[in-house]
Amino acid sequence: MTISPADPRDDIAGHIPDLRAFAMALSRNHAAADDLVQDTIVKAWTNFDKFTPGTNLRAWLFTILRNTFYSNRRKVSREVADPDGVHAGSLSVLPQHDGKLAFREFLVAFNKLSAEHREALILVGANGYSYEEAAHMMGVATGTAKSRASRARLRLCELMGMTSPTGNPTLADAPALAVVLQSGLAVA
Amino acid sequence: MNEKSKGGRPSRPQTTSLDVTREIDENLRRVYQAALTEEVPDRFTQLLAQLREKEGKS
Repeated sequence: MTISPADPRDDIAGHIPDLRAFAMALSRNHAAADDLVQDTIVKAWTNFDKFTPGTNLRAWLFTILRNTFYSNRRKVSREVADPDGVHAGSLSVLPQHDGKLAFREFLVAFNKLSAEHREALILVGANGYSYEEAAHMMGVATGTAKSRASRARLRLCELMGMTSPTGNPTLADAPALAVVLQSGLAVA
Repeated sequence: MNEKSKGGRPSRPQTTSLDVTREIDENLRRVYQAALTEEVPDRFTQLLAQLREKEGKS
């Protein structure tokens, strides 16, 4: 037995669900997301000496994943053809519900955002990373991460028809958003 | 960062209000959770096994 049971690379497996969720938010396509996760795992495995033990493994993996995503995109320079595919599919399992349409509306708006905006929102809004941590992963200054997330939220509101030209969007402008939340809609 | 909007519109909002931000984030978590709870395809466990095996041989 040459394989140590304490190989820190064993921890990669536990992060695969998160890698897939992040990859789907970036690529908006199941097949592309899984290819991206595959590339990420291979790169992480073969470059594991570059990981600093004791630091956040998931954040390190996310960094590899998003760098791979953007460098592939530069190479291929085409957008995925099926932007609604990923999340529209998951909607079919939801019960008929008042919240269904509203949540679909949210997803459609989310999928219309630029990759940079989706990335910022998933890291900060969904994962709860600090702006500093998100900025580190995105390779930008903290202020840039912060303004990117702010603009992404505003753009979401705009896409959902919530923007008032004179002031900040409020919940009064967003009955759809409020419906989603009040319904307690379980998405899993 | 100066947000000079086209058409010289007066001050666009810079941020969403706290309640809107909170509710957007709640929806984002749902989007993320939906993907997170999907079953992990076998190809990834196989991939990790292959990577380990390849290394054992070299």
